Amino acid sequence: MPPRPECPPEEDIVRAIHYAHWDRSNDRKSSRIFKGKNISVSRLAILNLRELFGIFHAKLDGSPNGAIVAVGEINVGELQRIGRCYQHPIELTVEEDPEEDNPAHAVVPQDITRGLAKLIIEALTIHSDVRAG
Amino acid sequence: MTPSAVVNNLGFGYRWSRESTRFRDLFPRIGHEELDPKSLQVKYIPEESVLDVLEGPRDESESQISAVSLRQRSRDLAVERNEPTQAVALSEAARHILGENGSRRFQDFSRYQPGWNLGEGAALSPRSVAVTDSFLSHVPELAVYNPSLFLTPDGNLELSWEDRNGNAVEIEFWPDRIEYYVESSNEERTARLEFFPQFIEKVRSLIL
Repeated sequence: MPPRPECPPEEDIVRAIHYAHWDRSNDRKSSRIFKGKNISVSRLAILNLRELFGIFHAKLDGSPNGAIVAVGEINVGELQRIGRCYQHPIELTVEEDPEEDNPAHAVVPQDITRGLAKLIIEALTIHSDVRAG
Repeated sequence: MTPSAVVNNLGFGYRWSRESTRFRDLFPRIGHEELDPKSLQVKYIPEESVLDVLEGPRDESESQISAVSLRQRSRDLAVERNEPTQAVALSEAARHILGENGSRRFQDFSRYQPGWNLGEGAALSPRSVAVTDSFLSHVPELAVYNPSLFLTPDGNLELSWEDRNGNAVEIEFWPDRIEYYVESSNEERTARLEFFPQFIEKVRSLIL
């Protein structure tokens, strides 16, 4: 399989935030939003927020599986800067990974620790979805 | 009697013999042929852990805390592999610590089906519930911190709160281990459940 193209640092991406990972009553977010390998994100250069929320709703609405309550936006270059400045520096990349139902899909393939995930989450611009619980 | 022993006895009423409380007896290793393909829980490769090198429990009563709790909770919950998650419940002590919000979130998580997060995400693990419940039952002081409850992609429960100085503490309860992050000391480690008593003491040191 050929290597996936990397998204340039000028691009902005969003990470869907599930109800299970954001306790809005106490305003706490789990590091699991960004912890781990191959974290799924979506590229705003391909689809806008309205279109992305539509995709997320189509997958979850009507199920007992909660909801995407928000998305967190971050610039790819900013994401990479946070990785490089971390106490254990890591070169983060965002790689294109379009899917049939989400052509904007991309992944961050590197293994992100809880500590680094917390820093990334703090840097997110949150866009809440008023329709979600 | 130590405070932890008091809590232990209040919750469960009696002790198990030392021989019967080895964790391996409680949760025998699962063979690869028995894997649930949608679960990552048994794919774990042990990581280096600071608690792995700690000395053993200081006395016999402390050594029995985790085993007694986990075994009794497992029985209370009728937890067995492949059991439907609808059978899972938290104790009253745990619900008190989590409060109305956390208890409601737990009920929500217990209904999630595999693939709950846009196609990813394992269903809630009954064993993770048992370990979480046991932990909460031994740290009633945590209630004042209003800990948040999360469900991880691996089907585990996770707790998060801020310590006295506002630094984050995050604990994920796996069926066979605990992963934790302590912002104040920048610790991010894994502890086997054999070191449950020491882990509880470590958490107490962060909140008392």
